[in-house]
Amino acid sequence: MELKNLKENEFKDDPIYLRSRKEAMVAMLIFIAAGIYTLTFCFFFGYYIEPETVRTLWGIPSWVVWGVGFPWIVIVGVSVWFGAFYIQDEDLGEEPEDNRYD
Amino acid sequence: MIDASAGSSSIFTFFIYLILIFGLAILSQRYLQSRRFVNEYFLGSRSLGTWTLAMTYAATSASGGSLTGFPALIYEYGWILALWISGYMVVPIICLGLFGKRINQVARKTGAITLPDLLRDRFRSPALGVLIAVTLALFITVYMVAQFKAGGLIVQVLLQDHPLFQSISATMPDLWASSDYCLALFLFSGCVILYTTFGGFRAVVWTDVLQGFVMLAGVLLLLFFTLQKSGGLESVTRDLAATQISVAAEGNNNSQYNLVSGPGGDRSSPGGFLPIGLAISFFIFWPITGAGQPGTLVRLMAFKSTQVYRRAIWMVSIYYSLIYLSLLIIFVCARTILPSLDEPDQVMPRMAVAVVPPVLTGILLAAPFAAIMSTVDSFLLMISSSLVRDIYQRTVNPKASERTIRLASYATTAIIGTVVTIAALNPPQFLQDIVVFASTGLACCFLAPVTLSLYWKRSTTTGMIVAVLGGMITTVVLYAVNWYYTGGIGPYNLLGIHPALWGLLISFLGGFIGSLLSAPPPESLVRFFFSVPVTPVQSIKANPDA
Repeated sequence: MELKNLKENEFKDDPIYLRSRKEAMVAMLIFIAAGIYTLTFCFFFGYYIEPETVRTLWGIPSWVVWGVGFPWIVIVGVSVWFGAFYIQDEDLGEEPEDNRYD
Repeated sequence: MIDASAGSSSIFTFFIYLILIFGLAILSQRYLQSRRFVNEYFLGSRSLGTWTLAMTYAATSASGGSLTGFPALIYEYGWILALWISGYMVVPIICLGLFGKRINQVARKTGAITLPDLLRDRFRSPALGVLIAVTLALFITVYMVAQFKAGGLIVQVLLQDHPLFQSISATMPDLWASSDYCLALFLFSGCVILYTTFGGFRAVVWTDVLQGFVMLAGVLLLLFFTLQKSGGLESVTRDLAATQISVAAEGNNNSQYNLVSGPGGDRSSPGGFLPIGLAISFFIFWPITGAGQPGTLVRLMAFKSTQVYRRAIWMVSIYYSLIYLSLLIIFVCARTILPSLDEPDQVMPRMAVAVVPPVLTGILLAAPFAAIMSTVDSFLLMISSSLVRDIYQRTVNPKASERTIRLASYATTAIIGTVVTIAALNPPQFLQDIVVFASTGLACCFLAPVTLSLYWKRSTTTGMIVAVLGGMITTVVLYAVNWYYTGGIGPYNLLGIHPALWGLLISFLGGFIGSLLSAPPPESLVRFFFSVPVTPVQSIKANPDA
């Protein structure tokens, strides 16, 4: 039977499309969460402060450590989870053999 | 200037590096002989593995700006650059995670090799394909002129004191620039054009892997020696805290800024270097514009399996954290080690000479060279693919033989490279601003069409054309407004927001509205890209009663 002869109710949404969309939305949520934390923390603890009152941790201003360094390390961990465990493996298919253009 | 021993080390490293690059190009050419030409030359036969995908993405994204412009900004403005660059923490997740699996699947369904190819097939619209190809070629050409000049300048720093270089340079006329610069530019562009033309996508990707490792090794070496030389980060931060920058605010008192807290001082801007509104813009700018870069999208069409893609996400994430956090610490320390640099753009080579033993200097000086080379080779191939594949092969002469396409591809890559080299002999000023302009334009033109075409069934050709034109016109207009008021190339931040965000907003709105106002796409097209049979077709075919 040819694909084009199938009726409308014989199709369903492509699972790869649905899962890709879900994974993209999770990626966007991670981005938004990281942005809210980093920008809020840095604005409240790293802006308009007298230089002599800036506290340091390992010689780095503490607002940099906790506002940028800490979330960065957390996001590296989240990336490992996202890449290694969250994204599902799929068979993405083969290219059409009769590619008329080459 | 580089001292004699560092100069010898640099030249030695430079030539080893070139030999490796040409070796990889020769290996790639052997692959080209045995595979379908267009698929192999422009996409490496869709066979990128984990290391190649991760490193080619990371190296192509990190242009010369990462190892020249960014260090200069850290040197000038201090710790606030941590927030300026912080959006890079999510760049791998966004740039690879948003589209990776889906774009690769759609490209496989259609056999698409380039980005214009993909969108043309997705909407069955030759007009859209040609519009995307022309837009892409225009913005990338502008981008490449700036990168070629940066490459020429680095080769000049590397080689200008060598007697052989000086003797050849002495025989050359001064064209628009000094003969030293012209000779260095010819050397740089000659290398890039040769190996890209000869080896195609696979050569570009393999050299990207090498270049990615050179960059990482260079940055980590520099971090190690800088921390040894600086006397400790605590004293560096205390030194920076003592530096006050006075900025004349409009019409009244001066504002005092410093190098250890926000917003950081910028003498040309009364609001400081990074007011919080601009910090928000940059946090969005890096990942979102990165996701829309054609160089990234093409690489996502080229990986061979989802296992490869999944591993690449966390590998790039670790790679970026090592590179960018190290650069931040190194060039904050540079302020103490080299307290009065007249030209901050030279802080990278100056630090290499100041803190690293001469025998290792060559690796450090090769790092920014590698960063630039890994970007321009990819972009050179993208312009070539736009012209040969999307305009010549698919529009002008669909029946062209493989031999004709092969010759056209080699010739186009070489000719485009030569034209960009000639333009870089006398490039306009404001190079970093040109790079940002071109990146903004590319993202504003392509991010919305790619997102909508992959994830929205109702998207139409009309909507995508409106999205491309809307993004392009917004970018060009906001830069033109700035040109009108200041006479320079730079963004006009309407309501304090960067043109990239305005361009993306207009492009997405245009894509939505244009699609909804035009006729829905044919059911068969939507079904092809978004649906599968409830019963797999293979089993239907296998069942004679079906």
